[in-house]
Amino acid sequence: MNGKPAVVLCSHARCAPNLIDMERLAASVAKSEVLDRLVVLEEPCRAVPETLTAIRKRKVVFAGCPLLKENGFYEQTARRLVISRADWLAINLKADVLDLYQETKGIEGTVCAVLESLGQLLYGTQAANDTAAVAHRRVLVYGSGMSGLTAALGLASEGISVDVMETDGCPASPGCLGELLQNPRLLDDLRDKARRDERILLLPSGARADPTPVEGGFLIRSSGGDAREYGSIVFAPERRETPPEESGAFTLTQLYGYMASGRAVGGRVVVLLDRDGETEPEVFRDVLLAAAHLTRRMQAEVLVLCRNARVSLAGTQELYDECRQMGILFIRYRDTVSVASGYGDFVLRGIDDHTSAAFVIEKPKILVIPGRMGLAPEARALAGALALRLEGDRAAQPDCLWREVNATNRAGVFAMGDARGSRAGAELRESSASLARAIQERLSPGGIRIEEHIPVVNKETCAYCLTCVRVCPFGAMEKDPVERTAKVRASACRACGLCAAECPAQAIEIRNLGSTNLRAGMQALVR
Amino acid sequence: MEHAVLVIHCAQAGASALARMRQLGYRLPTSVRTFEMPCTGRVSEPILMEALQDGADGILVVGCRKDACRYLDGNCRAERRAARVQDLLRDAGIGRKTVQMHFTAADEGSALYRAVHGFCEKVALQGQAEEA
Amino acid sequence: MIVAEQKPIQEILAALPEVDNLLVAGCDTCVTVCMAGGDKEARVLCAAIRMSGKKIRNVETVSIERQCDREFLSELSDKVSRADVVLSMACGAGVQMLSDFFPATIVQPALNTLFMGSTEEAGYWLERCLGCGDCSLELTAGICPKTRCSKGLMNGPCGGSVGGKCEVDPKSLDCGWDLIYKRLKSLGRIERLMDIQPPRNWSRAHDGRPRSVIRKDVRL
Repeated sequence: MNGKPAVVLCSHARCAPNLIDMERLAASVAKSEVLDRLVVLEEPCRAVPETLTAIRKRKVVFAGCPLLKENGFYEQTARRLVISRADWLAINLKADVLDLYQETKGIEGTVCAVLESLGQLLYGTQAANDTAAVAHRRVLVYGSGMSGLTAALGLASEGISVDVMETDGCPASPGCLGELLQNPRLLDDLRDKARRDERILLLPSGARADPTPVEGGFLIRSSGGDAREYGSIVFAPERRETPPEESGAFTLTQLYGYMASGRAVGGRVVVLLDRDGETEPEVFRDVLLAAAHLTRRMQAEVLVLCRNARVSLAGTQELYDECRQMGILFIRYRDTVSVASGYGDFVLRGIDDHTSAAFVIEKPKILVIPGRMGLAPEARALAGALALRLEGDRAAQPDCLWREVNATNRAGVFAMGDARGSRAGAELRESSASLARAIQERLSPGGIRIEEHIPVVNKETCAYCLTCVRVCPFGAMEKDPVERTAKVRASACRACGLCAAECPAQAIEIRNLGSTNLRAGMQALVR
Repeated sequence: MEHAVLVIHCAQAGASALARMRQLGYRLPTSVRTFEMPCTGRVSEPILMEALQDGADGILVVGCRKDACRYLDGNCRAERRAARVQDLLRDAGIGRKTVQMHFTAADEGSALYRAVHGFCEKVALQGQAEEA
Repeated sequence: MIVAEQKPIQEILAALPEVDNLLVAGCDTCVTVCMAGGDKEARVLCAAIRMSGKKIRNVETVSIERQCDREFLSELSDKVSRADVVLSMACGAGVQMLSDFFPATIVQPALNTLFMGSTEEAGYWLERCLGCGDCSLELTAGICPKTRCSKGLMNGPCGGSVGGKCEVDPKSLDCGWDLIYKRLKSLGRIERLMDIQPPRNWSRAHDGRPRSVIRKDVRL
């Protein structure tokens, strides 16, 4: 890949061609040491494919009218062209050119100078910087389950290069059962898409992660021994189940496999919920979905056995009632259930806690929901190395780490999926969009990073006057009727600070640019 | 006596123009300090007034050109707030301090230098007039 | 809510005596929302006074939730005891309460209180209610003829209503009765206009003494 950026000049019929001789400009750019070539789009929305093939996978600077920027033209074009590194800068060719015309000779030379300076500002002057720049853009997604793959695809579609690392070739964990039931091939489809995407590199399974922070990012050594540099890391491991020892028993993960391959699991199936303490509603929901699916689609006769575990029916009442109506039996057993196996068949014996009667279940298949589903030890170790605090299996810094003020946040480390507490496909896609935005902002020319400058509303002083909601250009503030204050919708926030400036009660602070910091910073400057 | 001038600029065109200016070899006098904000829209009246109170003699707010603000209208808000502060200073008889808005494009290094230099001269003149 | 506006700075400065200690007191409720007397405005005013050259040795600023409640005013005791003059940025009610609560201190207003109104848009507040004490908004589809009609007619419109605008300012002042007519029509209640309304009971509006509301069940 050539180190010098190409310039795409987007001109309306009205602007640039009236002021600039395009051929001479192209010649100036061709002679330039900073820029590679000039591509002119005269009809912005119908770029000629052959011309644009030349800039595919290159670094590109878009220049042109700010109106095009507002219409999202640059972003759309970049996406369509699979431009691997594109930045846009809207320069108002009319005003700027006329201004600079006074200083230099010839408009074409001026515009070229302008474009060169843009190229320099964005990419540096030497091809040697190329590797550094590209490496800095590369993001490591740790985990190739549903969250990891969704994150990787989301980032790649925004032009970010992604490496996906998985430690032991693990498929999805429970939690996305609902969607997998709709489409058992879902994970495989995601994996195929990722494989085909030029910007995504699936590192071989068994890769190790050993992060060393370096300037602007992390150096990670993979199991093959070579180290690659990344600008950001997305922590997206799945929780895993330990496969049961008894043959004939299977886990939810294995159930997905059967469904994907079309294998039927008929006959009597016992779903064994063998846990101490509380079962999370999402897990129980998966149990109910699996039971319902097995009954409906696989003609199984399902019994759900729960040990004294407390199960909260929050959000699952309807589904539970549906299951009962389908004829699925729910038995809460006392103490333990004895599983005797002989000749490949199981016999389960136990005591019903309600009736105190004994029950025997013969020759069932057993779907085991294990007591502990947690992160693999390597995932935990990585979290520790990245100063990512985990509570159970969730990132304690909620959401994407940039949303809450937290002294242990390390810039550039994000959590996705299970580690963030969301697993549904639509949620994951939205998170990956905001993730991509945050990662791109990390590299913006001015040095302002969204995750470091997100607004924080002081709930005590907020007057709930909704000025910020009205004033935000991106609709990123909304009212929180529970707390009776304003609330930030971080996925839409661009960290511009308008809300903080307009707030009549001065209840909004920009994280790291809060009023004490600001005041102290300015005092230090002017005293 | 040197007058302290504060240049508050945005992280988009403001920062780029400043960088371009330095690249072209221009150096600002030591009495001029710069401070970066995500957008000049973040600059509010208390920020301006307190900076002046704390010792700045003049504040130049440097933002993107009118139609080029990445956050749509932050620069327009900054312009209006700077005007309000300037009016307040005049009405309160605080003649020695001044606030001004300057719009720039990302590449206008020398134009920015001229603007800052001109502003510093204005601040100096006003200071002298007040002392007289 | 109560909408007020800050007095011109020249007027504020002219009225301030040159004392040792000045306290600028903001209010976090109505005047914050209408951007006249909140913490933000207090800080700006404070800086302006400090730089203005008026010989006031110490200028301090503080802001409380409301200046119309004793429980909040009591939070100011310490600071007020150290101040020679208090410049209150509350509405008229707040300034008076503050003055009552600290009768030995000189209290001056920084705002001109204007009306009871609503936030139409960010930065635009409009007078809605006069406090006449005899509300009849059900007759006029929720649009008050006393505030919105320049003449306060109860049986409008008058002949000065042209093109939906009031002759007092045909460029920008809507005719209140035109608005009332249109809305009654869209509500299907246009026949209400056929009833002639008698004059309102203005004795319930401000008419000499300060009005009060007393709930005997609460004041046991």
